[in-house]
Parts: sequence; structure tokens; C-alpha cells
Amino acid sequence: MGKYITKRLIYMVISIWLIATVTFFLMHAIPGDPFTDSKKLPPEIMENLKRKYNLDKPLIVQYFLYLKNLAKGDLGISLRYKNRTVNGILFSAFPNSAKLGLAAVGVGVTLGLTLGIIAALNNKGFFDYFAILVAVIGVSVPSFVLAGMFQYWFGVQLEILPVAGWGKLKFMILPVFALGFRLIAFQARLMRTNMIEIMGQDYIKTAKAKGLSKPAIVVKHVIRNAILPVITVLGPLTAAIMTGSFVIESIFGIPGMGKYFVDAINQRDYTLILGTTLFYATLLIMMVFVVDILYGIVDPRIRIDE
Amino acid sequence: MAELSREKFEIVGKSIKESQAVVRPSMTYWQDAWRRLKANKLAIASLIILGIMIFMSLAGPYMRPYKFDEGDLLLMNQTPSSEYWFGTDELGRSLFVRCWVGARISIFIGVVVALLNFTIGVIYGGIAGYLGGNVDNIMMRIVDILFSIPFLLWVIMLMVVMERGLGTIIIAMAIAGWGGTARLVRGQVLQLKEMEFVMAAKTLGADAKRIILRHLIPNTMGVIIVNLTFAIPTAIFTEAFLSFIGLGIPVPYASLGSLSRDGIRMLLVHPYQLFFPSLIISILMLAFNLFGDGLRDALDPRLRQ
Amino acid sequence: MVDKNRVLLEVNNLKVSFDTYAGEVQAVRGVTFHVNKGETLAIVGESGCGKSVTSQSIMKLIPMPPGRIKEGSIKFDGRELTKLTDKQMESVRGSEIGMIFQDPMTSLNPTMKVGKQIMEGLIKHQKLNKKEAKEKAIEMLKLVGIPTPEKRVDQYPHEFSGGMRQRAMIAIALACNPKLLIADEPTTALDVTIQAQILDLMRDLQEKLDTAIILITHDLGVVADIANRVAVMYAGVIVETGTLDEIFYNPQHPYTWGLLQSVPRLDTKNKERLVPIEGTPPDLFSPPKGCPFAARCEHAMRICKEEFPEKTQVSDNHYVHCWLQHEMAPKVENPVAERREG
Repeated sequence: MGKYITKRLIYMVISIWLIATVTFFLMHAIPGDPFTDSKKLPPEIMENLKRKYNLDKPLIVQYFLYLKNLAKGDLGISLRYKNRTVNGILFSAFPNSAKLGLAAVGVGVTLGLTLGIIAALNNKGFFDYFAILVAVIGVSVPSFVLAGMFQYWFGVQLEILPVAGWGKLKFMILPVFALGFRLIAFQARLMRTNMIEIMGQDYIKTAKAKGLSKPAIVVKHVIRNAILPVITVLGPLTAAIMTGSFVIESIFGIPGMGKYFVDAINQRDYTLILGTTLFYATLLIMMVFVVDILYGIVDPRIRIDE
Repeated sequence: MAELSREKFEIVGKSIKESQAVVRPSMTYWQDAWRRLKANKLAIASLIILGIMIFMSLAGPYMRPYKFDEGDLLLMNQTPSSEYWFGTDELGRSLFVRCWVGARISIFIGVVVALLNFTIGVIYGGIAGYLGGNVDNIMMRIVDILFSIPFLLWVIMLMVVMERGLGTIIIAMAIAGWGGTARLVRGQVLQLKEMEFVMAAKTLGADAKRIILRHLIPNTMGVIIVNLTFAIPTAIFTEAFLSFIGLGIPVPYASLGSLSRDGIRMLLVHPYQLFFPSLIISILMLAFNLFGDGLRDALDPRLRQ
Repeated sequence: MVDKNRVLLEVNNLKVSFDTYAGEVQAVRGVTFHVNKGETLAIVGESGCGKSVTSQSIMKLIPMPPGRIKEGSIKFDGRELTKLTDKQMESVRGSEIGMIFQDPMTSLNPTMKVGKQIMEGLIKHQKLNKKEAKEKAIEMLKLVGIPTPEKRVDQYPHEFSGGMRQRAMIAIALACNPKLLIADEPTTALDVTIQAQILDLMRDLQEKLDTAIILITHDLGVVADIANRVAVMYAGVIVETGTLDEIFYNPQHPYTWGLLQSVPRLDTKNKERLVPIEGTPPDLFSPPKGCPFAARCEHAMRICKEEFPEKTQVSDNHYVHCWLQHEMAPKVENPVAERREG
């Protein structure tokens, strides 16, 4: 286990270094510099700005300076939001995104698993078809369309929830569901298939032959085994949720990382794009790592095989 | 018992051939897959819907006498009517024409990106899996590291740097998206390499090219085709996403994603402008996904009866 | 003769069908047999002949739907099992009838400790608390011959070898000291050396615990090793039953002859060739109306294809369904009885 974790940590560092390098050179491959298209600035101010951002030094020096700052956790200064560091922006925005993302993952996993379990136990019954319908809609309707529909129905037509905004619980409901719907669909579908597959396993017959009641078999034998593969996809799914939040945050006007990221892209705020990408990448790589470790803990078969 | 006559007790012996006369007709893998696909009504309905969508994306724009990039400023934001079937947008352009032009671009991007991912993935994964050993190890470590970062982030990075346009979108998505296919193909190849029939072909003296062409590819095809089917809606989805955050098809061109984005901006006043493009994209995704499901079930050799 | 006081299980004219999209599959088509207390009955037959369905019907373990018990009765220890509710069945399963399955690799829950899997039944049926159940589980593991049971009780199935897993399965099945153990091909998936160990173990435990066993198998070697009586099943019906000696040394049904001739034996003096049974069993979608074996039987007569033969008694416990027993039938040489003398 220890050896495995070390190996994974090394890969994580390599991955992060790689994306830092690639993004750095990609950003600097863009013709001109970030100030070319700003309002005409006097040459001496331009020089000062360039010196301030180390843009006057050779690219390779800039790269190592960048890596050095990165190692200290310093992502630099935003080019558009004057006097704001990328770190500052991320730290102010991250809690909002995290709140939204966690809520969406929580809602998605809870509702998805519940729906999947009910559907499997109700095989070919009403709830089963309902779950299949939810799953099909979930994978087919893009989250921004869903967000638009929610805003229109619940915000404009029914006027029961605010169309946009942030801060109170009522602002969270629509974006959380718009973001989490795909997860609900995905988890429900996965859980349903797993449950049905497990219910056909030999060891379920053994459990029945022991005389256990149906609820006991479902809880102790079926669900536990069916839920394990669901955990493995949780990492990539969380990644999907977080990237999905780019649009959801923009649509609902939530001051999270996604919104800043989209704004940065539209305003070509390179340091902010660079910093946000790195932050996202690191977060996601760590998430997948944590999920893998978690999986090793809950599935007894993994421990020995390692 | 009284009716039993002696002749009934005459020995007639075995009749193995007659007893086994009713044998189910044998079918090849593809025949069987096609039979099962045909039996899946949902998949066939999806296939028909896909056909209609593709037809409309090609013919739809010519059904009305308008151009997708020319509007009548006097007729802005018109609700759907007999003249403008889906209404007009804020520049007075026919939404009907724009939706189908957009669908054409979306489908085109989906198919081309899926094919490119497929090609790169099959070549890369096939080589890694076939050569095995250290080459495989190194090649797959590279994939692991590259694709530990979500696909969408790569696409966004590339699109930020590149000029916006149809070609660059396709290139960015092709560069960023082949990891999954490569892993899948490599896994399949590794698994098949160990199987008896490949061993049998080797002992019979078949050369490498023959093994790859006649044994490996047909046997990995099922899984890969299903993967390809699901890659198309994913690519359409990604393009829509890119359009949404402002990195998609540049104006005045349209894709289903950019039309949805424009629609959301106008949602509170003119909801129909979101309704049509999002309906088309949802139906398209639905049809691709359901067809992919059907295809997966049909091609799964374990489900053969 | 059937002695009512000694009979533990009595199955009468059991018919089980599966409703599939293509129609009804008649897996079991009128099966009658009994098991006495403490004895071992082997049910032998080729795969797909309905022996597993029969055994799982006793436990009501066949999936319903698509399966259903169409007709017949299953009387266990004075109770009619076909009439019990699901809840009542739960108190029979595991507690009065234990069951072990063919593949020990897949029959244990991979994510639950072996000890816990033994404890479950004990907690449910004998109302033991966790501590008592665990002690009993350790005792059971010891009984089935697993070394260091105190350690093994907390391990997962993947830490057990195939033979040990089957031992653990036996421990689960016998934990509540059932009166009947149904063993569905218990040794088929094991190595030959392990097979013998498992059979020895089953015989030992039968003596210690006085459990009756129904052994489902296609392996006549296993039958010879452990069974008191044998029922030969073919295409959903029992074609011949008798004591072990009667079936091995004086079989009457051509199918039983075929089975015996297709198995290598160490005790034959002259070098005989193994004779396979040609052909395959009939499709139970549309079973033939006469004797199901007629198509593969070299002694088949016209009548065999038209009517299913009545039960004929050969001796006290020996019954057979075959037209050759009829007085009008030509006399056919019994190839297996011959062999014994030779």
C-alpha cells in the first residue's frame, strides 16, 4: 500500500508539472504579449509592466521563474483584474464552487443510488421505467439546456425559485439540480445494472439458501457489492461536475471559479487561465487519487492484489 | 395394456439424426448482431430518428428561402409563424435555417472528431497492446499522465491558443480525446493476444499481419464500434460546451451549442429561441445514446444465444 | 419399501417449468423420489436433465417467475413445502435444509468475511448473539478441517483456496445442523485430489451429524464413493432408481447402461473400451411424447416413441421406467450386469 501511494504521488507530481509546462508554453506561443491589445500605453509604462511581469526576460528564464513560484504555490497576478493575484481570486471563488460542486455530487450520488436501487428491486415495474427515463434524459439533455429550462419553469413561470444569484440556500437549488442531474442519471443507471447483475450471482443464491430474508440479502449482499464499482467512477464524475460548473456558474451568475474561468477566457486573461487550469487539474488529479485509495479501503479484494 | 400389439415391440434402434433435425440455423457474428439490433425497437427508432436528423441537417436549410447569415432587421425576434417556422433571432435571421445549419456543423464535428479519435486511439493502443512489454509500459504511462487531466481542460487550453474555427475545434478535440480509445483498444488487444485462437493461428504459422487483420481486428471491432458510437454525442456535447463558454464556432456560423447559448441569453423574453436548438440537440443526443446502447447489446458476444 | 417413519423428504410427481419468451420449457416433468433420514441419495444425469432444477425446487430457489412449480408435492419432515409462504420457507432454508453449490469460487460473497457468512445463518435461525455465533463459526471451520480457524474466520474468500472455499461452503450449509444437505455438484469444479477430500469430509460429517444428503452429480465415480441409493435422471424424469449396488451391478435402463459404460472403471478385468452415448438429450421446449431416451437407445422399439413407460418394480427399492421390462418386449442382453461377472 505504501509503495503504491508513493508511486501514485510521483505520477501526480509529473502530471501537474506536465500540464504546467504545456499550458505555460501554449500561453506564450500566442503572438504578441498580453498588453498588445490594451489601450495605447506610453512605451515606458509598457516597459515597466513587462518588467513587473518578468516579460522582458528570455522565455526559458520566465519558465523557471514560473515553476519556482508555482512550487511556492504562487500563481501570479491577474492581468485584467488590476491588483488582484490569481491566488486571491481563486481563494475567494473556490468556496462557492466547492459548495455548489459538493452539493451537486451529494445530491447526485444520493438520489442516483436511491433511484438505481429502487429501480433494480422494481425490475420492469413503474420505478424501473421512471429511472430509465431519468437516466436517458440525464445523458441526453445538456446541462445548460436543463439550466435554462429550470430558470424558465421555476423562476419565470412558477416564480417559486430565484432565476439567478448566490448566497442563500434558495439560490442553490436550481444550479445544484442542473449540475447534478447528469450524475443522478449516471449513478442510477450504473447502480441499477450492477444490482441486477449481482442479484444473479451464485453467492446471492448461497445467501438465499441460508434462509436470509430478502431485505437482509439486498442490504448486506447486493447493495454492498453493487456500490463498489460506483465508487471508482466517482473521481471522473466529480471531474465532470466541476467542468460542468463552468457553464452553470455563468448561467446562474454564481461568483465561483467557473465563472472567473469563462470570463478569463473571454478576456484573454492568460495568467488567470493558466492558474485556474492548474488549480482544476491538481484538484481533479488529487480527487481521483483519493477515490482510488478509498476504493482500496472498502474493497477487500484490492488490498492483497496490490 | 390390452391394445398393445406385438409389433409395437419390434426393435427399431437409434434415430439420432431425426431427433436432432430441428437445429437452430447457424449465424455469423455480424448476422446475429444485426438480428438482435433489429429486434431492439428503441435502437431502430433511434436509427430512423438519426436518419431524419441527418437528412434535415442537409436539406433543412434549403426548405426555406432564407440564408443562415442574412437577417431582416425589421423582423427581429419573431415568434414561430408559417413564414418563419422556428421564428427569428435578434438579428431577424430564420431560426429554422440556422438550427439545421447548426445541426449540420454539430453532426459534422461529432463524426469527424469521433473518427479521428478512433484512428489515433486504434493505432496507438493497437501498437502498445501488440508490442507489449516495456514499449507498452512506457506508452501507457504517457497516456496515464496526459489523460489524468480532464479532456475538457485540454480542449479549452488548445482553443484559447488557437484561432477559433471549425478546423481548430476539430483538431483540438482530436488531440485531446484519443486517450480512452487507446486504453480500450490496448486492453482488448492484450486480452485477445492471450486467447487460444490467436495461439492456434500462431502455431498454424499465420504471420503478424494476418493475425492482426483476420483475428484481432474483427474480434475487437464490437467494443470499438460501440465506443465510436458513444464518441459522436460526446464530441457534439463538447462542441456545444465550447460554444457556450465562447470558444466554439465563430459568428456568423452556428452550431447547436452556440444557438443554445444565444437562446439562453434571450430566455426570459423569447423562450422559443432556446427551445428549438435545445430540442434538436437533446433529440440528437438521445438518439445517438439509445442507438449506442442497442448496438452495445447487439454486439456483445456474451449475449449471443 | 418406503418406511414412513424413516422418510425425511418425499417428492411426488414434481413438475417444474420455465416460461421463456419462446414458450414453456419443461425442465422437470413429473419426478418422484424420497430420501430417508441419514442416508445419501445421488441424483445422476447429464447436464440439463433437470437435476439442479429439482434440487433447487425443494429449496424454492428457482427464480419465480420465470420458473414455476406446476404440479406435485414436496413433503419434508411432515410439512408440505410447496404450500409454505416465503417467510416460512426462510425458516426452512439454512436451518433444516442446507445447500452447497458447484462453484466455490463464485458461491461466497467476495466482500464479506468468511466467518460472517457462516454467522449470518446462525444469528437468523438459532438467535445467537454475535459473539456466540462467531465461536460457533470457528467451531464449524474447525469441523470442516480448516487449519487455524481463529485466524481464517476473519479472512475474505479470496484468501482461501478452492478446496478451502468449498469447505467453508459446507460449514455454512451445516452450521445450523440441518436434517438434509443438498449438494449440487459439490466437487465438479475442484481438482481431483481435492474432490476426494471433500467427499471424505461429507461422509465424515454425515456420520457425526446424522444428516441426509442429496448429491447431485454427473460423475458416477463420486456416486460410487458416497451414495446409498441412486436416482438416474434423464430429460426431466427419473428413469431408474435403486440402491447403489442395484444401479451399478444390475441396472435395467439402457440409459443407465450407457452412463456406466462411458465411465472408466478400475475393477474391470478384461480391457473394455469406453462406450460413449451418442447424440444429445432432447430439447425440453418440446419433449418427445414417448420415452425421451428412445432416440439415443439402440434397443428402442416402436412403442418407446409413442408412450412413456410405466414404472416397473425390479426389487424392493429398485424401480425403472422402460418398455424393455414389458412382457412382450424382446429379451435384451444387459451389457453391464454381464461385465460384473466377466
